[in-house]
Amino acid sequence: MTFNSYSFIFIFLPVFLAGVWVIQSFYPENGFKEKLMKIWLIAMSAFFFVGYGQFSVLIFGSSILGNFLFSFRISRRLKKCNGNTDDWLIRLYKISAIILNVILLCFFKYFGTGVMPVAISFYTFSQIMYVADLGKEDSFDALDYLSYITFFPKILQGPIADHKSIKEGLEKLPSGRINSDDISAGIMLFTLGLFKKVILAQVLGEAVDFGYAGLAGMTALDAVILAVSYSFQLYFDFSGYCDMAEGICRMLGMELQMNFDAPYTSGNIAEFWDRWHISLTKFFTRYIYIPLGGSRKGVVRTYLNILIVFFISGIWHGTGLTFIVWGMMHGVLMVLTRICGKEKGSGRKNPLKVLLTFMYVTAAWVFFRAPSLSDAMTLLCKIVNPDAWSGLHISIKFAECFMVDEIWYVFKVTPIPNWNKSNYICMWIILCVSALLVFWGKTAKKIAAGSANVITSEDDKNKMKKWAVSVAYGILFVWCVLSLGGVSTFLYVNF
Amino acid sequence: MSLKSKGGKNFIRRFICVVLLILIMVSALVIYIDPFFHYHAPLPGFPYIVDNQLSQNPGMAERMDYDSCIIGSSMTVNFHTDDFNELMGLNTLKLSYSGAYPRDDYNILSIVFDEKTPARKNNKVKAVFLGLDIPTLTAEVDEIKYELPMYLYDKNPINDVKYLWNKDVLLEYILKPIIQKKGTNLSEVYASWWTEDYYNIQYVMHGYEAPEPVSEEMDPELLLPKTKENIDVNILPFIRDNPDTDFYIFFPPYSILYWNNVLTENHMEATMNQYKFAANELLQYDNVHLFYFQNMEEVVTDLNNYADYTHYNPRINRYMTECFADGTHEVKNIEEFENELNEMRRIVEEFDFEALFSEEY
Repeated sequence: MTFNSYSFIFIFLPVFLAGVWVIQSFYPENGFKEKLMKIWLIAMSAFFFVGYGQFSVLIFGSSILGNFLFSFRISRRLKKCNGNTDDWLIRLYKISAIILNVILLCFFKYFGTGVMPVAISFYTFSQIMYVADLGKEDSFDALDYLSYITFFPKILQGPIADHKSIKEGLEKLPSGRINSDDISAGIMLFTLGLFKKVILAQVLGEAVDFGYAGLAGMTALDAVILAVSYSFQLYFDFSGYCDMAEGICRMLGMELQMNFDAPYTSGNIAEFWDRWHISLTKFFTRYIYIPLGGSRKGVVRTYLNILIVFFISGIWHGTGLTFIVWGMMHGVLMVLTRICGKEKGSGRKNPLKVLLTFMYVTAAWVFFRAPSLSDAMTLLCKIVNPDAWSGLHISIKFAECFMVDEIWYVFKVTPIPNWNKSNYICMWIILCVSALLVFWGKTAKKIAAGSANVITSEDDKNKMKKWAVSVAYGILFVWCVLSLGGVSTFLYVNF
Repeated sequence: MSLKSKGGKNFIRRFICVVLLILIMVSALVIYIDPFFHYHAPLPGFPYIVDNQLSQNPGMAERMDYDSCIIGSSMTVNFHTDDFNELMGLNTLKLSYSGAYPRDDYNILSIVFDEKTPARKNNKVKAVFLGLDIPTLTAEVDEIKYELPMYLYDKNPINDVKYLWNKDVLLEYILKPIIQKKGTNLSEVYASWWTEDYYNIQYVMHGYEAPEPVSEEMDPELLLPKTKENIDVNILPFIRDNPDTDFYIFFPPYSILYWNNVLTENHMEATMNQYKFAANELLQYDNVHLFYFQNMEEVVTDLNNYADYTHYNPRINRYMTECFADGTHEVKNIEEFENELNEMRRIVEEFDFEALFSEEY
C-alpha cells in the first residue's frame, strides 16, 4: 500500500484515524490505554506493510526480531550495571547489532538477487539509531520499540526520525484528542504532498524516462531541460511523500521531523544538505561523521571525514559507480566550501549563489539518475559542448512528454492549439510552475500553515477566503485522486 | 472528534462537500456514458472510442449485441467484422488481445460463454473464430501477456473506483469523443497502425533480427506436455461445453522468416509435432473447423505481404474470412493435416534463404 492509492486514502487512513479517535474518546484513562494505542498503531502499520509481499515482510520481520533480541539483552544488562552504557558487554551487544544491521543492508544492496526488500535502507538506519541510543536517552520497552520501528507514516521513505521524537508524539496520543484544526491542517499538507507526487513528479518523470531512454538524440537544450526536470522530479517525488507523511502525523496532532526545507534555495552545498533529506544528514553526522572524529582531529582529518560520509551516502543511495561519483561530487564541493569558509549561508540569499548551487546539484543528479557513467557523461557533454548549442532546439517528441491531458483540453477551447509552438506550451507551464514552487522558498508545510491561519482566523471579512481555501483544496485533492491510476511508484521506495 | 475551532470544522465540512460533490458528479458521468461498457450497453449515438483491449474487451463481451466473436492475438486484429456479416451472415465482435497467451483467450472466452451476461441472454454464440499461435502454447497455463485491470474483470463493486475516478477515462474516453464527435468503427477496432506502405520486403528485412543459431536439435517431444496442458485447460473446455457453437480455429500464415527462426533455433521437428498434436486434439470435436493457412506458398514466401516476420497484410485477413465461409484450407482429419504439414516442409526446404539474406534492403 502506498499513500497515493485509493485503498490508503479512502479506507486505510479513515479506519486508522477512527480507531485512534475511538481509543482516545471511549477507553478509560488507565495504564493500558497507552499500550492499546501502541498495539493499534503496530497492527495498522503491519497491515500497511504486509501488502509488499512475503519477501519484504520476512526480511523486515527478521530485522525486527534480531534487533528486538539485542535491545532486550542490552536493557537487561543496563539494569544489572545501573545504566552504565560504557559497560563492555553493552558495547559488544551494540556493536554486534550495528554490524549485523549493516551486513543485512549491504547483502541486499550488493550481493542479493537484485530484488531489494522494500524500505530496508530506511528501517535499517532506524534500527541502528535505536540500538545505538538505547540506554543513553531511551530505555527498552517492547511495544515502544515496535511502534517506533513499524510506524507506517515513515516506514517506506523516512524521515529517518529518531526514537525520541516519535516516542514523544506517540506518548501524547492516548491522552490527546484528534481535533478539527489538526485534521484540517493534516488534510492540507497531505493534499499538497499528493499534488507534488501524482501531478508534478508524475509528468516530469515521464519526460525524464523518455529523455534518458534516448540520450543520443537529445539536443543541448533538451539535455538541460532533462537534467533540470530530474532535479524537480526527485524533489517533488520525495518531498511530496514526506509532506503526506507529515500530513498524516499532523492529523494525529503529532509533528514529524521535517525532511525538506526548500533545498533548492540554498546558497551553497552545506546549506543544501541542511535542507535536503534532513534526517539522513543528521543520521550521517551523528552516527558516522562524529564517531570518525568530526572536526575535532584537525583540518585534514575533517575533510577526510566529510569525504568518507559522502562516499557512504553514495553507496547507501545505490549500487554502481554513478552513485559514488554523485556522493563524491557533493563531498568534494563540501570540502571546498569549508576551505573557503563559506559553510553557513548568510541571512540574505544571493540569487547567483542559489543558481550556481542548483546547477551543481543538478549536474550531480545526472550521475544519480543515469544508468551508467557513460550515459551521464553523454548528457553532460551535450550541455557543455558549444557545437551542440548551434540552433536552439527542443525536440518535439521530448516536449510532448510534458503534455498534461487536462491542461491540453483546456487549451482546446482556446486558439492555442493552432499556434506554431503549441506543443511546447505544456512543457513550459510545467517547468515554470515547478521552478516557482522550488525557488519560491515556501515549503508545503508553510503553505498549509498559511491556509490553516486563514480558515481559523476569527475575522469575518475572511469568509470568502475561507470558502476559497476549502474549495481550492477540495479541487486539488479530487484532481489528484482522479490521477491516481497508473502513477509511478515512489523513486525512493527501493532504497 | 472534539473541536478546537469553528474554522477547522467548517473547512472539513466544505472540503468533504466539494470532494463528494465532484466525485459523485464524475461517477455519475462515467456510469452514464460507461466507455468501458462495465455497467450497460453502449448509449445509442455516443461516439465511443474503443482502443483498449485490456479495459474494454470484458465489457464488450458482456454487453454488446453479437452472435460470434474473434479471439486471438495481433494475428486477428485486422479482420473486419463487416466481412463476417457479408460472407457468413454473422454479427461478429472482435475481442483480440495483442500478444495473447492461451490464458488470455481463456479469460475472455469465459466471459463470452457466461450465461449470466446480458450478451448471452440476448444471443447464443453461433461461432468463435480463434487464431491459434503455436509458439504461445508453451507458455505457463495461467500466464497472461499483460496485467489485467482486475477492477473491470471481477464482480467487486468497491474497486470500481479505479474506473469511476480515473482521469484517463474522463478525458480520453468521455471528453475526447465528445469533442471529436467520431467514434471507433467496431468493424475495424484494434486494427494495426501499419498503413499499406509498411507492407513491403524492405520494411520487413530492416526490422528482422534472426535468432542465435542453436547447434543441438530440440527433443521432438519436448513441447508436447505444455501444449497438451494449455489446450486441455484453456481451449478444449469451451469446445466441449458448447457443442452448438462452431469453432473456426486457424493457424495464422506467418511469413517464411518465422520458419527461418524455427530452423535456426533447431526445433523444426518439435514444432511440427506440436502442430500435429494440437490439430489432433482439436479435430476430435465435430464443432471444430480447423484451417491451416501457413502453407499458402505465394503468400508466406512473398515478404511484400508482411510488415514484420509474422504480421500479414489485412488483405490476407479478408481472404481467410472468405475461407471460413467456403471451407477453403479447412482440414477435416489428421491425415489431411499431415499432408498440409508435409507441404509446409517442402516450402521451407525449397525456399532460398541464402538469396533472401544476401540481398541489400
